[in-house]
Amino acid sequence: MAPAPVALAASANPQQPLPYNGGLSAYVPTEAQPWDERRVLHLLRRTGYAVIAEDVYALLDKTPRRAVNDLVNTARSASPPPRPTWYDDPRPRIINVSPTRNEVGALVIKEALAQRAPGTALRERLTMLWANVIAAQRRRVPHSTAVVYRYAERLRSYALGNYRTLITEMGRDDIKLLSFLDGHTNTADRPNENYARELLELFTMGPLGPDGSPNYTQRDIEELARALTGWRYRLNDTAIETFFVESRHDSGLKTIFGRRGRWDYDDALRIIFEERGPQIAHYVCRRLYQEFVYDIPNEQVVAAMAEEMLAQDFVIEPVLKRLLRSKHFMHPDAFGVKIRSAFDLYVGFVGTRSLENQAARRRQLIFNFVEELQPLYDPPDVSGWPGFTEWVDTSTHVIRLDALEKITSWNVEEYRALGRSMPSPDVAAYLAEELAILFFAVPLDRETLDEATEVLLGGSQSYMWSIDNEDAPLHIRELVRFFAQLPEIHLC
Amino acid sequence: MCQHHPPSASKGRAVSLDHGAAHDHDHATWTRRDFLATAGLLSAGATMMLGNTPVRAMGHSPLMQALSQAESDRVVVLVQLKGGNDGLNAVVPVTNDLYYNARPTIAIPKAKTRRLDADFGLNEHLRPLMKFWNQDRMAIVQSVGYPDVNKSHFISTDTWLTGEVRDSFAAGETGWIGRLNDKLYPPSGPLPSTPPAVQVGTRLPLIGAGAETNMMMSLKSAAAVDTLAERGVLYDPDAVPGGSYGPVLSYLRSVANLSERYVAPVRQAAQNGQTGAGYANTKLSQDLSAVARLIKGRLGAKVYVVTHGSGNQGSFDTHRNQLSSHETLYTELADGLRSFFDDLQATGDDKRVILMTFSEFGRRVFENGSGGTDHGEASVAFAVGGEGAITGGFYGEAPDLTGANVPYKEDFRNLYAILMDDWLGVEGVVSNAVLPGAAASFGLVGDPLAPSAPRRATTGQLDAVYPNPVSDRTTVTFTLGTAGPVALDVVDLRGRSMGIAVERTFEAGQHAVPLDVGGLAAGFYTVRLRTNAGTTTRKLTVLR
Repeated sequence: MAPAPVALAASANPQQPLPYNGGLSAYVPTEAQPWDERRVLHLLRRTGYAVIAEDVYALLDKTPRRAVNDLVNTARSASPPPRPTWYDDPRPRIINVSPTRNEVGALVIKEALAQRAPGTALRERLTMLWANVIAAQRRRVPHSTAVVYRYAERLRSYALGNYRTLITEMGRDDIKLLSFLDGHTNTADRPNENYARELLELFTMGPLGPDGSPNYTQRDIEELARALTGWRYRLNDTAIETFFVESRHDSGLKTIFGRRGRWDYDDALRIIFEERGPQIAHYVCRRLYQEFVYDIPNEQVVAAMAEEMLAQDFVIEPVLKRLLRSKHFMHPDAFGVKIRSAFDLYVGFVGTRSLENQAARRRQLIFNFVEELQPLYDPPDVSGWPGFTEWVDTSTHVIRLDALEKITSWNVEEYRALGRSMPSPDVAAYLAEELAILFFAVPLDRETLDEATEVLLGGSQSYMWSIDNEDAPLHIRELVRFFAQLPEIHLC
Repeated sequence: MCQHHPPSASKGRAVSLDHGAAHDHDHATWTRRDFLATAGLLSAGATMMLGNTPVRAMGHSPLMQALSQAESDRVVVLVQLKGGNDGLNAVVPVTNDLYYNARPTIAIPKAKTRRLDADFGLNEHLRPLMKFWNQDRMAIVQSVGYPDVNKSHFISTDTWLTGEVRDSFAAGETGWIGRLNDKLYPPSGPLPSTPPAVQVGTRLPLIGAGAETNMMMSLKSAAAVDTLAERGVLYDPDAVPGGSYGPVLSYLRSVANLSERYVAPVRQAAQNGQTGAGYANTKLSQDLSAVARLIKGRLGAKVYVVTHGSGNQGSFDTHRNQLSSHETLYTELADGLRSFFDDLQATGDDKRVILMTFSEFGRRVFENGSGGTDHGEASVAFAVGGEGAITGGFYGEAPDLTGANVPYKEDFRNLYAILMDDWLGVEGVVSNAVLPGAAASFGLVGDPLAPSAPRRATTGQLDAVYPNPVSDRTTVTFTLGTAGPVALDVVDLRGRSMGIAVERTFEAGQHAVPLDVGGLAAGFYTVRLRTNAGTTTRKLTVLR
């Protein structure tokens, strides 16, 4: 008898949003919902990608409100990574590497592994979120690494700022976006709707509003495209910039969202935000919610966020603070429901260890693995990475596990440092459990924890265990590899 | 295929970054990813080299294919005794005063042993094994080890799993079973449709790690085999907690199940083979029961690996209270083995099974202050077979108790060679490539399948490579003093093998082997002839 085919369980397609759980009202620690390690780890995992024990202890000493405010304030105020030497060099990077090398992606990895204060990771995470909202493929823009870098830099500089300003600047000043969406070929004579359509559909409001009614018509897109005409870019030894060519601009009358005038780019963007403010706020907050809480949005919570965003005139920071401090975000229902992207998984995995220095070689390896599944600043299309369950399928699952196996292959002494950073490094059963809390966003069952202890002991008796044993790092590495095999590792 | 990526001489799981990231990336996108996606998850810890896809410039030897086609249904079961088993209290030197003097409180009195011969008695807790001994179906190999035994559990276990003596952790390791699988299922051919090796209830991926991949399948526990037989899954997607993350975890488990390559054949075998009766409710017995089930179900795996000493009963790392620990451990071990062979015998499958124990090291001759023993060196290995499979008795040398440690007299790799050559019928040239220098040095196997080819006496030298320089075909001539295995390959300036031209046994005398270098980039190479007598080389220049 042939074995029956293996079927995906019916429950394998999660579709339920999380319960409201108090929505945006501020979380206050209670006996039932204490400000404990799990909750702190949840906050750190969602706002960063690598968690180290030190950060956990530091946050436990603060109030939840203070912890969130400090993270977000750091994200806003920390100095950005230094500009690369080739910032003003319009050429592709061709020194020793293929001209198609994703230099900017490599810098993201470098920054992520630099393990600066936790809030800086939040800023990078937001930058990547906006890069996924205002998405442009790398391979379809001019082969200039500096162009891609400037795109990322602009996203970063507005990561917590005013979304209207961000969108306005991106669409006008960013070569990557302009060229990707054919903005530079959009002229009075031959209008190209590409950019206008994505501006509405993907960058600001989506086709449908919160009530399900259409946000715009084809006519709006056509008229908007006319307003956006005239922008070109210059990419040569003396300039990396966009510029306006009056003769290519359609200076005629346009009707955008019912408002008639000789609108140009700035007018059009202003009108979009004036006429469709609630829809835009809802759309942006939905994306924020999906990034930080869960991929299936709770519409009630999103609506409350959107209200806040409108009240704040599209400034992101206060909305994010409220979300991260909220009962909804801090409720255990929100723990471990997201699926890690390849970037989150790999960077989180090495970053979980307290690394003295991230050798170039290791950065290179992680970069290669991330490139394999999720080339940074190079999403599959203009709608960005779909994420969630699409991060893991049978082929990417195999590739992820294989990558984790390799990522865990070096510098065994670092595992001792990891063990020492835990509260009970000298009691094997406790250490295994503490490391499980650090590595997993969801609790492991008793049986698996017992198995973890056995793996950690590696055949020696529990009373023989000491973090000072010569081969203790090898035992810890073995445990980490065991962790890497469990399906729970992909949850965040 | 890309000429930048010949198989690396120092290969393994290390990742080559020699060519820069983009280069690696380019290859990663069309080789590693495609391969992994097609292959499925070969095992827990399956590995592939990133951007270092082996290229067989001249194909692989037909010998290997012949070997893999020479199907024998014989099986090796390896039982790891985790923690370092004290051979002296297992096979007790009952007439040796040095033993009794060194262990005033934990020596086993002769009266508490079962007679093996005049000088040795078996620990009474192992007494179920006497049945095998009396039926001439158990071999006891004494003083097994390797030079300068490393006393770290991990490093010494690595040595036993890789078959390569190590004194520190080394990256890029391959296991001896992994190397054997590489030979049986070379990279240029298809992957096996059933797992060539299986481990149950243990986590020793290293033993199955090949140069590029790990073909060994890992089954978490005996219960996992049951779940697989019944439900066809490794991770139960329905048994997730009720929390909000339940559906997402359920999804991930389903994916994990689907990406395991060998689910279907193992499920089939588990359904074919019934669970035997009479097994104790111990981890080892349950794991062995699962192994027996798969053997009876004709899974086709040649090697199974289980571990004893990793559960609640504690390990063989008996630094204290050794006597009470051993009572449990040995009772469970002997019961497990007896049930296992009883189970197999009921269907006649015992005749095709040899089970061998191994442990990373033995223990100190002298007891310590806690009623235990500290890490030592050589120990004993038990090999038990079904009817006719084994010629029972003592092998190796009696332990020398004059020092603090029992010195090794029999290299553990020779035991592997015996299992490979005599039992599984692997040809000497192959097993020599898997474990260079190891020899099936004594006749433990009752019915050797294919007596191994001479392995040490060969002499050989490379005479000429002509024409040279060359752009397409040349001829290599060499002379062998005696018949024996030969491996001929081409190596680039960085020592990386570009492919194996021939790898088989040759008769004595002069031989000529054609070499097609049409696939090699222009440059300087070395033709390398390897025999048991050593390696000789000639320069080769390829023109384009």
